[in-house]
Amino acid sequence: MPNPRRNPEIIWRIERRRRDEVLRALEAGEDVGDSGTVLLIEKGTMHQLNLVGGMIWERCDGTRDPAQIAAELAVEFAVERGELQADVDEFVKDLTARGWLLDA
Amino acid sequence: MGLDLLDTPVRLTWDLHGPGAAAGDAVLTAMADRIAAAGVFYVTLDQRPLVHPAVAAIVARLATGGCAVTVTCSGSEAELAALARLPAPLPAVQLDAGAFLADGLVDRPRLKQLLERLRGCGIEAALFLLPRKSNLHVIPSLLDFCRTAGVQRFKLPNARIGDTFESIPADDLPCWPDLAAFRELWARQAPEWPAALQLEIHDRFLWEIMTPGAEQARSEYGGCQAANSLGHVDAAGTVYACAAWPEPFGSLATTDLDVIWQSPRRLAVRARVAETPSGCLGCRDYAVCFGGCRGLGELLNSAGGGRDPMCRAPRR
Repeated sequence: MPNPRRNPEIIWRIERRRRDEVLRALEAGEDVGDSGTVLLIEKGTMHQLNLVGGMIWERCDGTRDPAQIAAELAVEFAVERGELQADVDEFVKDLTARGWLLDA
Repeated sequence: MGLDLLDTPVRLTWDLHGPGAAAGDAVLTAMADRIAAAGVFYVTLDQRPLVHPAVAAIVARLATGGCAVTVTCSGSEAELAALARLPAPLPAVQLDAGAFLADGLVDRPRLKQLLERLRGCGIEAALFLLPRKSNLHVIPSLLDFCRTAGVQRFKLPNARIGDTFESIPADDLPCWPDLAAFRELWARQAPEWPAALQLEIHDRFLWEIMTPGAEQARSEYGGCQAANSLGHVDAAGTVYACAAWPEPFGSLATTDLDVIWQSPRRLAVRARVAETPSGCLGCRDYAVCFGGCRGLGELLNSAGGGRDPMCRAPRR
Protein backbone atom coordinates (compact mmCIF):
# COMPACT_ATOMS: atom_id res chain seq x y z
CA MET A 1 0.00 0.00 0.00
CA PRO A 2 1.43 3.44 -0.94
CA ASN A 3 2.29 6.07 1.60
CA PRO A 4 -0.89 7.98 2.42
CA ARG A 5 -0.75 11.75 2.65
CA ARG A 6 -3.35 14.24 3.78
CA ASN A 7 -5.34 16.09 1.13
CA PRO A 8 -3.90 19.62 1.34
CA GLU A 9 -7.37 21.11 0.76
CA ILE A 10 -8.42 19.86 4.18
CA ILE A 11 -7.58 22.15 7.04
CA TRP A 12 -7.09 20.58 10.42
CA ARG A 13 -5.73 21.01 13.89
CA ILE A 14 -4.98 18.92 16.92
CA GLU A 15 -7.18 19.69 19.93
CA ARG A 16 -4.31 19.52 22.40
CA ARG A 17 -6.18 20.15 25.63
CA ARG A 18 -8.87 17.76 24.55
CA ARG A 19 -6.32 15.12 23.62
CA ASP A 20 -4.67 15.39 27.02
CA GLU A 21 -8.06 14.88 28.67
CA VAL A 22 -8.76 11.87 26.47
CA LEU A 23 -5.37 10.34 27.26
CA ARG A 24 -6.06 10.73 30.98
CA ALA A 25 -9.46 9.14 30.52
CA LEU A 26 -7.89 6.28 28.58
CA GLU A 27 -5.39 5.68 31.37
CA ALA A 28 -8.30 5.58 33.78
CA GLY A 29 -9.85 2.81 31.73
CA GLU A 30 -12.69 4.86 30.22
CA ASP A 31 -14.07 4.31 26.73
CA VAL A 32 -12.78 7.21 24.61
CA GLY A 33 -13.69 5.82 21.20
CA ASP A 34 -16.14 8.63 20.43
CA SER A 35 -14.05 11.49 21.79
CA GLY A 36 -12.64 13.78 19.12
CA THR A 37 -9.04 14.95 19.35
CA VAL A 38 -8.40 16.17 15.82
CA LEU A 39 -10.69 18.65 14.10
CA LEU A 40 -10.77 18.90 10.33
CA ILE A 41 -12.82 20.85 7.84
CA GLU A 42 -13.58 19.40 4.45
CA LYS A 43 -15.60 21.50 2.01
CA GLY A 44 -16.94 23.62 4.84
CA THR A 45 -18.03 20.69 6.97
CA MET A 46 -16.45 20.03 10.35
CA HIS A 47 -15.43 16.53 11.36
CA GLN A 48 -13.59 15.12 14.34
CA LEU A 49 -11.27 12.15 14.54
CA ASN A 50 -10.94 10.13 17.70
CA LEU A 51 -7.64 9.52 19.46
CA VAL A 52 -6.41 6.65 17.31
CA GLY A 53 -7.77 8.16 14.11
CA GLY A 54 -6.12 11.45 14.96
CA MET A 55 -2.78 9.82 15.60
CA ILE A 56 -2.96 7.99 12.28
CA TRP A 57 -4.00 11.22 10.53
CA GLU A 58 -1.04 13.10 12.00
CA ARG A 59 1.31 10.50 10.55
CA CYS A 60 -0.21 10.54 7.07
CA ASP A 61 2.34 12.97 5.68
CA GLY A 62 3.44 10.85 2.72
CA THR A 63 6.64 9.62 4.37
CA ARG A 64 5.27 6.49 6.04
CA ASP A 65 3.37 3.48 4.76
CA PRO A 66 0.55 1.97 6.83
CA ALA A 67 2.87 -0.66 8.31
CA GLN A 68 5.21 2.03 9.59
CA ILE A 69 2.29 3.99 11.02
CA ALA A 70 1.04 0.88 12.81
CA ALA A 71 4.53 0.23 14.15
CA GLU A 72 4.69 3.75 15.59
CA LEU A 73 1.27 3.43 17.18
CA ALA A 74 2.24 0.08 18.69
CA VAL A 75 4.62 2.02 20.91
CA GLU A 76 1.72 4.16 22.15
CA PHE A 77 -0.98 1.55 22.65
CA ALA A 78 -0.99 -1.84 24.31
CA VAL A 79 -2.87 -3.45 21.47
CA GLU A 80 -2.06 -6.60 19.52
CA ARG A 81 -0.04 -5.58 16.45
CA GLY A 82 -2.26 -7.36 13.93
CA GLU A 83 -5.34 -5.60 15.29
CA LEU A 84 -3.57 -2.25 15.12
CA GLN A 85 -2.47 -2.89 11.55
CA ALA A 86 -6.04 -3.76 10.58
CA ASP A 87 -7.28 -0.54 12.19
CA VAL A 88 -4.72 1.54 10.30
CA ASP A 89 -5.50 -0.18 7.00
CA GLU A 90 -9.22 0.31 7.45
CA PHE A 91 -8.79 3.97 8.43
CA VAL A 92 -6.56 4.69 5.45
CA LYS A 93 -8.90 2.86 3.09
CA ASP A 94 -11.94 4.75 4.40
CA LEU A 95 -10.33 8.19 4.28
CA THR A 96 -8.81 7.53 0.86
CA ALA A 97 -12.27 6.65 -0.43
CA ARG A 98 -13.56 9.94 1.00
CA GLY A 99 -10.74 11.82 -0.70
CA TRP A 100 -9.32 13.04 2.59
CA LEU A 101 -6.13 11.01 2.06
CA LEU A 102 -4.19 10.76 -1.17
CA ASP A 103 -1.51 8.36 -2.34
CA ALA A 104 1.93 9.89 -1.97
CA MET B 1 -22.38 13.42 15.60
CA GLY B 2 -22.07 16.73 17.45
CA LEU B 3 -18.74 18.33 18.10
CA ASP B 4 -16.97 17.75 21.38
CA LEU B 5 -15.81 20.74 23.36
CA LEU B 6 -13.13 22.42 21.29
CA ASP B 7 -9.95 23.98 22.63
CA THR B 8 -10.63 27.23 20.78
CA PRO B 9 -13.14 28.53 18.24
CA VAL B 10 -12.87 27.62 14.58
CA ARG B 11 -14.63 30.76 13.36
CA LEU B 12 -14.45 34.21 14.90
CA THR B 13 -16.13 37.45 14.04
CA TRP B 14 -14.20 40.51 15.16
CA ASP B 15 -15.65 44.01 15.21
CA LEU B 16 -13.05 46.66 14.55
CA HIS B 17 -15.37 49.55 15.36
CA GLY B 18 -17.74 49.92 18.25
CA PRO B 19 -18.00 51.04 21.87
CA GLY B 20 -14.79 50.94 23.90
CA ALA B 21 -12.63 50.26 20.87
CA ALA B 22 -9.19 48.94 21.77
CA ALA B 23 -6.59 51.66 21.34
CA GLY B 24 -3.24 51.31 19.70
CA ASP B 25 -1.81 49.14 16.97
CA ALA B 26 0.25 47.16 19.47
CA VAL B 27 -2.83 45.99 21.36
CA LEU B 28 -4.70 45.13 18.16
CA THR B 29 -1.83 43.22 16.59
CA ALA B 30 -1.32 41.36 19.86
CA MET B 31 -4.99 40.37 19.72
CA ALA B 32 -4.53 39.21 16.12
CA ASP B 33 -1.51 37.18 17.18
CA ARG B 34 -3.51 35.56 19.98
CA ILE B 35 -6.26 34.58 17.55
CA ALA B 36 -3.74 33.06 15.15
CA ALA B 37 -1.87 31.27 17.93
CA ALA B 38 -5.13 29.69 19.06
CA GLY B 39 -5.49 27.97 15.70
CA VAL B 40 -8.64 29.77 14.60
CA PHE B 41 -9.28 28.87 10.96
CA TYR B 42 -11.61 31.66 9.84
CA VAL B 43 -11.76 35.28 10.99
CA THR B 44 -14.33 37.74 9.70
CA LEU B 45 -13.47 41.36 10.40
CA ASP B 46 -16.70 43.31 10.75
CA GLN B 47 -18.08 46.81 11.45
CA ARG B 48 -16.36 48.87 8.75
CA PRO B 49 -13.04 47.08 9.18
CA LEU B 50 -11.52 48.49 6.00
CA VAL B 51 -11.56 52.05 7.31
CA HIS B 52 -9.87 51.08 10.56
CA PRO B 53 -6.33 52.53 10.63
CA ALA B 54 -4.81 49.22 11.76
CA VAL B 55 -6.62 46.97 9.28
CA ALA B 56 -3.54 46.26 7.15
CA ALA B 57 -1.49 45.23 10.18
CA ILE B 58 -4.31 43.09 11.58
CA VAL B 59 -4.96 41.33 8.27
CA ALA B 60 -1.25 40.68 7.80
CA ARG B 61 -0.80 39.23 11.30
CA LEU B 62 -3.83 36.98 10.98
CA ALA B 63 -2.85 35.77 7.53
CA THR B 64 0.75 35.14 8.57
CA GLY B 65 -0.59 33.11 11.46
CA GLY B 66 -2.57 30.89 9.13
CA CYS B 67 -6.06 32.39 9.49
CA ALA B 68 -8.30 32.78 6.46
CA VAL B 69 -9.42 36.40 6.71
CA THR B 70 -12.62 37.95 5.40
CA VAL B 71 -13.54 41.61 5.60
CA THR B 72 -17.07 42.93 5.36
CA CYS B 73 -17.64 45.94 3.15
CA SER B 74 -20.60 48.18 2.44
CA GLY B 75 -19.09 49.49 -0.77
CA SER B 76 -18.31 53.06 0.26
CA GLU B 77 -15.56 54.91 -1.57
CA ALA B 78 -13.54 55.14 1.64
CA GLU B 79 -13.66 51.35 2.07
CA LEU B 80 -12.76 50.72 -1.56
CA ALA B 81 -9.83 53.09 -1.34
CA ALA B 82 -8.60 51.32 1.79
CA LEU B 83 -9.03 47.94 0.12
CA ALA B 84 -6.88 49.12 -2.78
CA ARG B 85 -4.14 50.06 -0.33
CA LEU B 86 -4.01 46.67 1.40
CA PRO B 87 -0.92 44.66 0.57
CA ALA B 88 -1.24 41.21 -1.00
CA PRO B 89 -2.50 38.68 -0.25
CA LEU B 90 -5.85 40.41 -0.06
CA PRO B 91 -8.46 39.10 2.36
CA ALA B 92 -11.73 37.73 1.05
CA VAL B 93 -14.41 40.40 0.74
CA GLN B 94 -18.06 40.11 1.72
CA LEU B 95 -20.30 42.86 0.42
CA ASP B 96 -23.18 43.85 2.64
CA ALA B 97 -26.20 43.53 0.37
CA GLY B 98 -28.18 45.44 2.99
CA ALA B 99 -26.31 48.55 1.89
CA PHE B 100 -27.75 48.11 -1.60
CA LEU B 101 -31.42 48.16 -0.73
CA ALA B 102 -33.50 51.10 -1.84
CA ASP B 103 -37.19 51.38 -1.04
CA GLY B 104 -37.17 47.74 0.04
CA LEU B 105 -35.73 46.52 -3.26
CA VAL B 106 -32.26 45.45 -4.32
CA ASP B 107 -30.47 48.15 -6.28
CA ARG B 108 -29.17 45.65 -8.78
CA PRO B 109 -27.40 48.10 -11.16
CA ARG B 110 -25.40 49.65 -8.31
CA LEU B 111 -24.53 46.27 -6.82
CA LYS B 112 -23.54 44.88 -10.21
CA GLN B 113 -21.39 47.92 -10.90
CA LEU B 114 -19.53 47.48 -7.64
CA LEU B 115 -18.99 43.76 -8.19
CA GLU B 116 -17.55 44.49 -11.63
CA ARG B 117 -15.32 47.17 -10.17
CA LEU B 118 -13.97 44.74 -7.60
CA ARG B 119 -13.50 42.08 -10.25
CA GLY B 120 -11.41 44.61 -12.16
CA CYS B 121 -9.12 44.64 -9.12
CA GLY B 122 -9.00 40.84 -9.01
CA ILE B 123 -11.47 40.52 -6.14
CA GLU B 124 -14.37 38.08 -6.41
CA ALA B 125 -16.60 39.38 -3.64
CA ALA B 126 -19.22 37.35 -1.82
CA LEU B 127 -22.54 38.84 -0.75
CA PHE B 128 -24.13 38.72 2.65
CA LEU B 129 -27.40 39.89 4.11
CA LEU B 130 -28.05 40.10 7.83
CA PRO B 131 -31.59 38.74 8.02
CA ARG B 132 -34.09 41.22 9.42
CA LYS B 133 -37.82 41.32 9.57
CA SER B 134 -37.65 44.19 7.10
CA ASN B 135 -35.45 42.50 4.50
CA LEU B 136 -36.40 38.81 4.36
CA HIS B 137 -38.49 39.57 1.29
CA VAL B 138 -35.44 40.51 -0.80
CA ILE B 139 -33.73 37.12 -0.38
CA PRO B 140 -35.29 35.58 -3.52
CA SER B 141 -34.35 38.65 -5.54
CA LEU B 142 -30.80 38.58 -4.16
CA LEU B 143 -30.38 34.94 -5.06
CA ASP B 144 -31.61 35.69 -8.55
CA PHE B 145 -29.09 38.51 -8.69
CA CYS B 146 -26.35 36.08 -7.65
CA ARG B 147 -27.31 33.84 -10.56
CA THR B 148 -27.33 36.58 -13.18
CA ALA B 149 -24.24 38.37 -11.86
CA GLY B 150 -22.19 35.21 -11.33
CA VAL B 151 -21.78 35.72 -7.60
CA GLN B 152 -20.12 32.62 -6.19
CA ARG B 153 -20.97 32.91 -2.50
CA PHE B 154 -23.96 34.22 -0.60
CA LYS B 155 -24.26 34.22 3.15
CA LEU B 156 -27.12 34.81 5.57
CA PRO B 157 -25.24 35.21 8.86
CA ASN B 158 -26.65 35.06 12.36
CA ALA B 159 -28.33 37.98 14.04
CA ARG B 160 -26.33 40.34 16.18
CA ILE B 161 -27.99 41.16 19.45
CA GLY B 162 -27.25 42.66 22.81
CA ASP B 163 -26.33 46.13 23.92
CA THR B 164 -22.60 45.59 23.91
CA PHE B 165 -22.22 45.64 20.16
CA GLU B 166 -24.19 47.01 17.24
CA SER B 167 -27.45 45.18 17.16
CA ILE B 168 -30.55 44.79 15.11
CA PRO B 169 -33.36 46.74 16.79
CA ALA B 170 -35.49 44.25 18.70
CA ASP B 171 -38.52 45.07 16.60
CA ASP B 172 -36.61 44.19 13.42
CA LEU B 173 -35.43 40.75 14.55
CA PRO B 174 -37.25 38.12 12.53
CA CYS B 175 -39.57 35.84 14.51
CA TRP B 176 -41.81 32.95 13.58
CA PRO B 177 -44.62 35.02 11.99
CA ASP B 178 -42.03 36.62 9.69
CA LEU B 179 -40.68 33.21 8.85
CA ALA B 180 -44.18 31.97 8.04
CA ALA B 181 -44.58 34.89 5.63
CA PHE B 182 -41.18 34.13 4.13
CA ARG B 183 -42.16 30.50 3.66
CA GLU B 184 -45.14 31.59 1.58
CA LEU B 185 -43.02 34.06 -0.37
CA TRP B 186 -40.41 31.41 -1.05
CA ALA B 187 -43.05 29.00 -2.28
CA ARG B 188 -44.14 31.63 -4.84
CA GLN B 189 -40.82 33.22 -5.73
CA ALA B 190 -38.01 30.72 -5.15
CA PRO B 191 -35.54 31.67 -7.86
CA GLU B 192 -33.82 29.37 -10.27
CA TRP B 193 -31.03 28.01 -8.12
CA PRO B 194 -27.61 29.37 -9.12
CA ALA B 195 -25.71 26.18 -9.88
CA ALA B 196 -22.27 27.36 -8.82
CA LEU B 197 -23.39 29.33 -5.78
CA GLN B 198 -22.07 28.47 -2.36
CA LEU B 199 -24.88 29.29 0.01
CA GLU B 200 -24.26 29.65 3.72
CA ILE B 201 -27.34 30.01 5.91
CA HIS B 202 -26.72 30.30 9.60
CA ASP B 203 -30.30 30.14 10.76
CA ARG B 204 -31.59 26.62 10.91
CA PHE B 205 -35.18 27.56 10.07
CA LEU B 206 -34.32 29.69 7.05
CA TRP B 207 -32.15 26.80 5.93
CA GLU B 208 -35.07 24.43 6.24
CA ILE B 209 -37.24 26.60 3.99
CA MET B 210 -34.60 27.40 1.39
CA THR B 211 -33.02 23.97 1.05
CA PRO B 212 -35.81 21.43 1.53
CA GLY B 213 -34.60 17.84 1.70
CA ALA B 214 -30.99 18.86 2.28
CA GLU B 215 -30.79 17.88 5.94
CA GLN B 216 -27.91 15.53 5.25
CA ALA B 217 -25.81 18.51 4.22
CA ARG B 218 -26.14 19.79 7.76
CA SER B 219 -25.78 16.44 9.43
CA GLU B 220 -22.65 17.49 11.27
CA TYR B 221 -24.46 20.43 12.82
CA GLY B 222 -25.18 18.83 16.17
CA GLY B 223 -26.64 22.01 17.62
CA CYS B 224 -25.75 25.59 18.46
CA GLN B 225 -22.02 26.17 18.18
CA ALA B 226 -21.89 29.35 20.26
CA ALA B 227 -18.91 29.19 22.62
CA ASN B 228 -17.57 26.13 20.85
CA SER B 229 -16.62 26.42 17.19
CA LEU B 230 -18.03 29.96 17.07
CA GLY B 231 -16.94 33.04 18.95
CA HIS B 232 -17.13 36.79 18.69
CA VAL B 233 -14.76 39.60 19.63
CA ASP B 234 -16.04 43.14 20.05
CA ALA B 235 -14.11 46.31 19.33
CA ALA B 236 -12.88 46.49 22.92
CA GLY B 237 -11.40 43.00 22.66
CA THR B 238 -13.99 41.26 24.80
CA VAL B 239 -14.64 37.69 23.71
CA TYR B 240 -18.25 36.47 23.53
CA ALA B 241 -20.04 33.19 22.94
CA CYS B 242 -21.11 34.39 19.50
CA ALA B 243 -22.44 37.49 17.79
CA ALA B 244 -25.95 36.42 18.78
CA TRP B 245 -25.12 35.61 22.40
CA PRO B 246 -23.37 38.49 24.19
CA GLU B 247 -22.06 36.50 27.13
CA PRO B 248 -18.57 37.89 27.86
CA PHE B 249 -15.77 35.45 28.67
CA GLY B 250 -12.67 37.63 28.94
CA SER B 251 -10.45 40.15 27.21
CA LEU B 252 -8.33 39.22 24.24
CA ALA B 253 -6.36 42.39 24.87
CA THR B 254 -4.82 40.79 27.94
CA THR B 255 -5.42 37.04 27.77
CA ASP B 256 -4.71 34.23 25.33
CA LEU B 257 -7.76 32.90 23.52
CA ASP B 258 -7.21 29.28 24.56
CA VAL B 259 -7.21 30.42 28.21
CA ILE B 260 -10.40 32.46 27.70
CA TRP B 261 -11.99 29.44 26.03
CA GLN B 262 -11.47 27.42 29.21
CA SER B 263 -13.17 30.01 31.41
CA PRO B 264 -16.01 28.87 33.67
CA ARG B 265 -18.39 31.25 31.91
CA ARG B 266 -17.66 29.67 28.55
CA LEU B 267 -18.12 26.18 29.95
CA ALA B 268 -21.37 27.31 31.59
CA VAL B 269 -22.70 28.45 28.21
CA ARG B 270 -21.88 25.06 26.71
CA ALA B 271 -23.59 23.38 29.65
CA ARG B 272 -26.70 25.47 28.95
CA VAL B 273 -26.55 24.54 25.26
CA ALA B 274 -26.39 20.87 26.25
CA GLU B 275 -29.71 21.17 28.06
CA THR B 276 -32.97 20.92 26.17
CA PRO B 277 -34.87 24.24 26.42
CA SER B 278 -38.17 23.74 28.18
CA GLY B 279 -39.88 25.29 25.17
CA CYS B 280 -38.59 22.48 22.98
CA LEU B 281 -39.66 19.54 25.14
CA GLY B 282 -41.57 16.93 23.18
CA CYS B 283 -40.67 18.39 19.79
CA ARG B 284 -40.22 15.68 17.17
CA ASP B 285 -37.53 17.72 15.40
CA TYR B 286 -35.35 18.48 18.39
CA ALA B 287 -32.80 15.90 17.27
CA VAL B 288 -32.48 17.86 14.05
CA CYS B 289 -32.41 21.47 15.23
CA PHE B 290 -31.34 21.17 18.90
CA GLY B 291 -33.21 24.35 19.69
CA GLY B 292 -31.80 26.44 16.82
CA CYS B 293 -30.12 29.68 17.89
CA ARG B 294 -29.76 29.27 21.63
CA GLY B 295 -28.50 32.81 22.17
CA LEU B 296 -31.64 34.30 20.65
CA GLY B 297 -33.79 31.78 22.47
CA GLU B 298 -32.21 32.38 25.84
CA LEU B 299 -32.15 36.16 25.66
CA LEU B 300 -35.29 36.96 23.73
CA ASN B 301 -37.75 34.16 24.26
CA SER B 302 -37.89 33.30 27.93
CA ALA B 303 -41.67 33.32 27.60
CA GLY B 304 -41.31 30.56 25.00
CA GLY B 305 -39.08 28.46 27.25
CA GLY B 306 -35.88 29.45 25.47
CA ARG B 307 -37.05 28.22 22.09
CA ASP B 308 -35.55 29.95 19.04
CA PRO B 309 -37.82 32.93 18.26
CA MET B 310 -37.96 31.70 14.66
CA CYS B 311 -39.77 28.57 15.84
CA ARG B 312 -43.49 28.86 16.52
CA ALA B 313 -43.96 25.80 18.75
CA PRO B 314 -42.76 22.26 19.32
CA ARG B 315 -43.63 20.03 16.37
CA ARG B 316 -45.68 17.02 17.31
